[in-house]
Amino acid sequence: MSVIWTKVWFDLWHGKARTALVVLSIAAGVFAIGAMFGMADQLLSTMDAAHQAVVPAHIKIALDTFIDRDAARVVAHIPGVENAQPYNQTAVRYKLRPEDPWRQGIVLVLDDYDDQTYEMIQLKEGRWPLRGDIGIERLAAQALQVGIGDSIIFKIGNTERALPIAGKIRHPFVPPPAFLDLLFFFMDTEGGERLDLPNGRFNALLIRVTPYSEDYAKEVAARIKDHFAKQEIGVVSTQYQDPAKHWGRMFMEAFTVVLQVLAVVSLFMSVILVYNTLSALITQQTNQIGILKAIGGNTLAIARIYLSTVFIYGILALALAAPLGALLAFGITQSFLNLFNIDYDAFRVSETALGLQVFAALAVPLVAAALPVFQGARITVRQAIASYGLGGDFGSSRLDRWVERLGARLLPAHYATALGNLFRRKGRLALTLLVLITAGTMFLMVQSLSSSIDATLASIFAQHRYDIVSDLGGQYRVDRVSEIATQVDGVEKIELRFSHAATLLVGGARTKEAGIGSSVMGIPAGSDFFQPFLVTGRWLQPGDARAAVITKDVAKKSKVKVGDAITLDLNELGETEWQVVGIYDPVFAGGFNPDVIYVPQEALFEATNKYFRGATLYVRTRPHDDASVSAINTQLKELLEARGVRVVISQTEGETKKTNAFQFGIIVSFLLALAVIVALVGGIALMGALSISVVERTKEIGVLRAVGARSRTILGMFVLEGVLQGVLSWLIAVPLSLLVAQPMASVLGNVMFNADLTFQYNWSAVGVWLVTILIISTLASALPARGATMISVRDSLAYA
Amino acid sequence: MSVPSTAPVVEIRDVVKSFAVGSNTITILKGVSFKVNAGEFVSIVGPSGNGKSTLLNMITGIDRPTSGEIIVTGKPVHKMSEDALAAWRGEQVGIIFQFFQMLPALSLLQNVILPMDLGSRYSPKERRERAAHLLDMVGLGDQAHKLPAMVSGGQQQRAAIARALANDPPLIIADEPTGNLDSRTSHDVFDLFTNVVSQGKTMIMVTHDKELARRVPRVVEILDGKITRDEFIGRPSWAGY
Repeated sequence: MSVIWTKVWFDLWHGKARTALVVLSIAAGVFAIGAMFGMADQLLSTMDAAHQAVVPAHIKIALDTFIDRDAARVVAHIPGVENAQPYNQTAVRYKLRPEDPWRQGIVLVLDDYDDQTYEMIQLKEGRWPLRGDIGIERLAAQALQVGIGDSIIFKIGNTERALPIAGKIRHPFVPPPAFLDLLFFFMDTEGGERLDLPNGRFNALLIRVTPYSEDYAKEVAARIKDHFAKQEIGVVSTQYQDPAKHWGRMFMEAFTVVLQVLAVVSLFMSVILVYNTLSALITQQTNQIGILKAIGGNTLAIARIYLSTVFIYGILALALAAPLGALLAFGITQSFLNLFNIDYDAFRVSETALGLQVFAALAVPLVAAALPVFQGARITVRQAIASYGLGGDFGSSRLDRWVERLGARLLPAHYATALGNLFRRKGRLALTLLVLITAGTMFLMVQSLSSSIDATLASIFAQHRYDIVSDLGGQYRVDRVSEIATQVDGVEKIELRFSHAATLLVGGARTKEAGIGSSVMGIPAGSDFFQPFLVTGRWLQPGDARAAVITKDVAKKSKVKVGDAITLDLNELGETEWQVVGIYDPVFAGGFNPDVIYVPQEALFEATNKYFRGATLYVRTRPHDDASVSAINTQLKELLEARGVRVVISQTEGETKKTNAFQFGIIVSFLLALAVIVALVGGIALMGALSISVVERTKEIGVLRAVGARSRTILGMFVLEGVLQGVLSWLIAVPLSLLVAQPMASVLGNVMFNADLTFQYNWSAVGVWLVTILIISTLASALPARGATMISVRDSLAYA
Repeated sequence: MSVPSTAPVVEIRDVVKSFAVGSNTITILKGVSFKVNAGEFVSIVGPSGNGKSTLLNMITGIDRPTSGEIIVTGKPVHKMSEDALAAWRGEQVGIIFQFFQMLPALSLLQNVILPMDLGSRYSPKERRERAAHLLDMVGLGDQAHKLPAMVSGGQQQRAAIARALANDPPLIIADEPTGNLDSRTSHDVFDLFTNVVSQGKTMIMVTHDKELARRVPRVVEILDGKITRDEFIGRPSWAGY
């Protein structure tokens, strides 16, 4: 082995602190790459694989009338339909203990669980439900903390009945309980009969088309709707699904891309330390480079020595970050997949992420180090010998002189040195600041994104002048529901709106049938319950006839503007003409939120010939605190159920806020975690820069010692230098974040949540970051500063 | 004044070296010309700041002349690239510095092996054997595995001589080699030099030490950037002093 390796080893081992800092810094970036790219790779591919494995239906149709198996077979013969699987689904009310309030759930009934065609539900534990017992969706079992043998109390008619759990079942398409408090249960056909689901008759269909394409699925769905319309069977809702891509992709895809981008940013921040360290090492060893050149070392041979050092840094960082990154990637993937009800138990390492980590750990630092290494290796012997002695260039620029004057005016002489030292190595200062500024800007941006989400949600909820929304699962008479609801103490006002699945037709074509589908909602004249954020045009007014307010996405996709006429296909209720008077921004669109078309309720009654009926109940209560509203909601549901009005789902504003807070909280937490990684890298970079500074200024420290400087003075000098860098980064990060936070929040809001956020800069985060950066810079400078105090006059003056 | 009539190892033709200091230009060497033949032992003397070390740096290619030509071991070093110079130095020139300039991370043995490693001379086994032999020759056989910081200045300079001889170069350049050594050690080091020259090497040494300079067969004196004396005492170095 060449003796050159002894030098490489010596540099690594002799500068243990420096090696540890660089390795940790690279490892932080490589870890972020491994965790985020590994998570993205495993998450999305596993979601899709799990989705494809259950043979998802292309179309799910819910009907307002029960059909028999023969009618379902007829659907299977409609041109383009591959097959149709009928099933039953209904809303139920349940509780765990007799003293508990009723909660809403869904019961799904298949007549033969062993003969499924689409959307395979799987038995995970126990057995399929039989007469007198139930199956429980395993996420529901987890949320309720119940197991096989435990009982759930169901409201069946006017009685309460405890049914034992016979099996735990996985349903591939249930919303995570953390997102929506709507748990799923399973019964056999006899159990279904007790819930008014007639044996052998069905209210929903799972359909696949052949050959599949999104457009063809919509075309076939239109045929099926026409088929049912002719039989006067109403289609309550139509859902479409991509058979290849998991429905949760829309939540996770953009989110993972943003995390990947931030991981790459973290990596670049971490390799800045490699650049800084190598610059310093080369400067420190310029004399040695001179000697090597004098005895026959050429540029390449010298560059190889330092690049080998960097390569070893990379290997050490990879050894540290690869397993940790893989573990975290697996952990995050597992928790997200569990959230989406997908099993993921066998530990797996993403090969793509590992490949990227190898590249990030070995190649990226080499590229970062190449410039200082080759610059240093190219130095001539004379330059190497003549330039030895560091920082001699300070004082040559106007900035240096200004800093010197400022320091002399504001600080005692020895602390003024700290200010001067700050600007001594401007390149290194710039790079260290870049990391700290990036960390600060990221932190302030994420905090501002979080407060913008809060502000947006607050402004949305401020527009809601109601406290409870209930889906009644069918159209009920307004006067009947009103009479029941107003009996509940605390109910101030109600509004029952007519809503129905609808298809927007422009020029005779179906332009909007994606996702959960659009729906039309009637707004009673003079309603003060709600008004959306209008982009153009106006809101509905008393006296409006066939006026409609549509979402900006629908307007954009169907190229409709205010004043245009649109046709709404209400399936069995026929087609009707409307004029667009306004276009609104639904803010948080996509996902489970359908595009709602608002029209005057009176005009909708007229168009559908269904007068004074509604399916969506809005309730305004007198007390608005969460506890009171929750109690009123329970009483209201019970009373409505007791009086024969079904409540599929009923949610208070407080519950909706909580669900939102949970969903957005996950995303903001991830972004914040990455900001913290960058902040840690910033701290390491600062510590590294100050350690190098101590080594470079050993002689200067000796001179200060010789003229009477005490340890605390030396300590103070270096801590002050570190803190000054921290404060300087804060001073730059705050205005920078003010500039970039708004466009970034807008981009992130659109990419991740499909929302135009109401921007709100988080001023309290500015104070939090100042405290954080003061702590980071003090801690980061403490160790090198302590090292400086250990230097004796004899050692420092012997240093050469 | 006479010189041996062998082919010149070093030939300097009308070399001028100027430096810019602020807005002024200082000329250190003012048209210096001289030759050194193979096997000569030359001492360059003169007061500080008169251009001795600059002249030495010209010969080793460490510095370049403002004008003039420098041919060393047949190569025009004033025209060569840095990398070509590094490779040439590794093969043709052994340099001994005033401050020893040993790499602190390497043992004395490894420091001596280093030029052979860099120049890829000899097999790895031969490198070790040769380095051990050279350290034996300079009286450091028992100190070979010590780090430079663990031995005295004189011992470091002996190791530096061994390092300069590692690739068996025809020319050895020493810049104030005894400047940091006591009188007795200086004499020991000088004895090593005479031994080296006796083996047929050409040696050029810059020194302040008048006594040592007197023991060298040829003395070149530089004053104010010019050669003011080039005296061949007459006794070849290998004849003994």
